[in-house]
Amino acid sequence: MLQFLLKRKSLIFLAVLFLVSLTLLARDVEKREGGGFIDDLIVPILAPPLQLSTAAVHKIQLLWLGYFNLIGARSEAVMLQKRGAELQRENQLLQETALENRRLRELLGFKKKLPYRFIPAEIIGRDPSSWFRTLLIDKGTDNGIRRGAAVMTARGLVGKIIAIQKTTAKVLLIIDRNSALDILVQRSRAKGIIEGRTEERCELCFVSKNEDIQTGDVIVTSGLDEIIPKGLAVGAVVNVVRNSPGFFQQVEVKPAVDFSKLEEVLVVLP
Amino acid sequence: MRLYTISVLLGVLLLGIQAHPFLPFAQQGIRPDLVFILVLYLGTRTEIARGPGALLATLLGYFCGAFSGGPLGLYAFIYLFFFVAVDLLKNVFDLYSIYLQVLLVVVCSLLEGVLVFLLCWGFFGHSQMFETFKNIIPKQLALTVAVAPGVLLFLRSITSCLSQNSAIPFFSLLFRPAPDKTATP
Repeated sequence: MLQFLLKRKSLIFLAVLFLVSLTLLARDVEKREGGGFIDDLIVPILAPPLQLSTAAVHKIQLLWLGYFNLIGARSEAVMLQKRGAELQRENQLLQETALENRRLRELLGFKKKLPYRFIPAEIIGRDPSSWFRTLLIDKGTDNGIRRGAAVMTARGLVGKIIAIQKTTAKVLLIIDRNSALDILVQRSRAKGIIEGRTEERCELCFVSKNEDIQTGDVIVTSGLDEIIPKGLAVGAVVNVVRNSPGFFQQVEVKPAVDFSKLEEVLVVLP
Repeated sequence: MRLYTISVLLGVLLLGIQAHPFLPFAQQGIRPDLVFILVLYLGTRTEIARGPGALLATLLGYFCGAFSGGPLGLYAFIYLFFFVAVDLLKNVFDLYSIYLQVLLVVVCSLLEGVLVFLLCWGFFGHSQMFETFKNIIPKQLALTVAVAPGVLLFLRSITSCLSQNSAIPFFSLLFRPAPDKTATP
């Protein structure tokens, strides 16, 4: 028996490897959450060189664009762009507050909104696979970030934290197929779930055909999940199909954030 | 042992490039699978034994999985599968030529996409997964194939240096004849 096993040790070794991989795959699918001891082991080792090289490339880019190419003008444009984006977000939040106030002005004892804090983080890595959409950021539990925290930019929602280490965290983008988020249509207050479709697009699901949704409508977070603030811009409706079979309409949403140009993000801390 | 250690370091380097946020040729999140090219290349090498090579491929898969949003064992399983397949294939075909290795990358990249699609569909049960598959596969394949000759030449150059302890001109490897397997040392 022992001789039989020794003769086939290579085959047995391969079978064990396949079995371990498949078990981990099935376990991870069942739990549907990132992280785990292997992530905790590998990411902290590989993240620092990635962080260094990202910083170096970023510095070179800044030097090239900010000095050689357009002295002064570039930094001014960046500042104005940031200011514009900030104002846009501010305007959106104000619109949301005005609508909220109109609906609730007669109510007394209105629940006080919890103040949110933001931590800026730099993107140090992107998903190496083309099939999933995640980011690696340079902030982790040491900075007070929690799993599930919302990640945004001045333009809108980016995603949420799915795995976290001491100094790094993995962000699941809203365009990933595994992402699902409770939302509101800002104009008509229709509710739905927004799911990622990977190719820089999202789909608004479970919206009844009776609901009033039009092209150009702004989609915002509903705030039902207490960890993600209410009223953050998610995107805008680009296509509505009502004559499809079934109870729900097909709504295509273009995210507010351009994911290919992301360099820094804000992590929301409750 | 040195070859295995260097292979791990090469895997880390290629993963770092693949996951780099400023990768110039990444389009809409679609990236060439550089680590997969390394795994296929290791499968074609006669110096890499099946057992340790399979372990190495699994390890590289876990590295990829740790940075990816997919389930952890997905890439470990896929890399292991393709390493073993190529390892078996090299007993039938002579995969030393770089042209055959590029062809191998093309075929295996396509099959890798099919396998990811099937596993994601089977495990996650995503609707409209075929749309994603149709959109991603051609771009991913084109990018991987575009960088494959360069990556393979780089890997051949490194492994040749390691096995012969001498530097070999980079592009001379393109036209280098296959080693004579019948020759006695």
